[in-house]
Amino acid sequence: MTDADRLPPHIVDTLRKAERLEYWNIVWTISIVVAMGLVMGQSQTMKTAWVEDTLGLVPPIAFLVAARMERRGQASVRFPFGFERVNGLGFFLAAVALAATGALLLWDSAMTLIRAEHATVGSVRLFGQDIWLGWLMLAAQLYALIPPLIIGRKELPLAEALNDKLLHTDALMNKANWLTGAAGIAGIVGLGLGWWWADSVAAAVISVDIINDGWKALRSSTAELIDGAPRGLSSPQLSEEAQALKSRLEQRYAGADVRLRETGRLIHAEVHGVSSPQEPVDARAHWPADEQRLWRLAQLAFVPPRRGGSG
Amino acid sequence: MCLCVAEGSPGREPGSASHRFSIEMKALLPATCLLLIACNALPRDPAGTSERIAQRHVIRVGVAIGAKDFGRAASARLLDRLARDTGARPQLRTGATEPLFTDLRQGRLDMVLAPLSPKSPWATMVAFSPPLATRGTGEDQLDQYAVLRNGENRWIMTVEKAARAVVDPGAGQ
Repeated sequence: MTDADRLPPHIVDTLRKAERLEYWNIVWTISIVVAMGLVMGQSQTMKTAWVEDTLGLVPPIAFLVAARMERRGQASVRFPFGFERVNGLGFFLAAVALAATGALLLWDSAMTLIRAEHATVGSVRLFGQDIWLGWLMLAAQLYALIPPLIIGRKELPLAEALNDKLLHTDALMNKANWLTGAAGIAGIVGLGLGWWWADSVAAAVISVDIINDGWKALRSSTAELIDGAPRGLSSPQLSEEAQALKSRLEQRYAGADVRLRETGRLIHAEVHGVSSPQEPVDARAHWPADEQRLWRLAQLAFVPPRRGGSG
Repeated sequence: MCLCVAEGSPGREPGSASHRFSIEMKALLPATCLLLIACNALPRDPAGTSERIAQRHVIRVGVAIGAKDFGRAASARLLDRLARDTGARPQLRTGATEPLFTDLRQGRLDMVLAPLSPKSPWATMVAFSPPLATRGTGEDQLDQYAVLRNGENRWIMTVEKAARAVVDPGAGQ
């Protein structure tokens, strides 16, 4: 049995849709990396944007690997709990990539400003005409804006439906990519106008936003890896859905110590200090949120008090 | 203007998506016009090399003491071409490569003609034109370059264009 077998069909369909979107994401990102690489020249901003676009491949690849293992990976002797947590690991990798992108952009911009580097953007001969390379860079940056803008927007509702933080982080990565593209356009136009500092200032301002998103994703992903309480989809704050579940369980099992953790998109609840009920547990009766999202409650475990010790 | 929005037209209430789109389009139009005007104006030189050459009619050229006559004919053709294109007279100064590069980076020269390896560490600190002449291959390759101050993109483009025309006379016509 795979992890996806426990998910309702509409969630599995949404997962497949997200996978298809991520394949498109990879194809478009590679085309952007090639286009930017061809016109990069000596521009530091273009080099940074190219590195960022390349790093943008990390979240979709991590998502595809995690989704594939979730859908196909069988629980085994070596992996008795299946592969639910691969998504969490991918989330962590994507968060590192996002934070690294922001940090790289900030470092690069600050260094360019401190050293007062004047970027050289020369010309190329194309179809018998000498063209300023900046125009080709602008065309490449404009092209690089469009796919992440569209794909990022398409990812957000899927990430919400799947409660997938890895996919959500990829949407943030796409946002970072198109914002950097916009900064790059401003920067190249600024360079063209003789304002050598323009691209670095624009890139530095945007890097602060990217670092903020990356930092939030890092906090959530590390919390998940060390069995922290479930966090919100887009913030490191505790998930409202999970908090409501905790309150419901505490009301129902007075005096119990209720502990929640998250593996990928699923919530595991442990009720300590209470013996397991004799009758099968009705998960619906314990779930305080929308019934459509009951699939998130993967496990409700009871840990009876230990004789002569705390539970 | 064709992009004007009729008041009360369906779906164009203030705040609606189409209203916002209309505003964005209105902002885009002048931006596009500015961009088209900028086509000829860009790039500019942060330190104003092209403007200074146009005003004073002088190009300050450093000539590195190099490998005998290597690259001399191509360099002379480049200077002739630049003199024609800019209406400025080259003012030559010979010297050792490194002091000339220092003067170039400080803005005391507009260009240095020097024989260099394509893998020279100077490549990141100054801008090289397309090679004017080449001798040897692989590790032994030596190219004659017009070397320019980094970031002076209008001037760099002018010299690159002239260098291409000198190397391939048919291309620049």
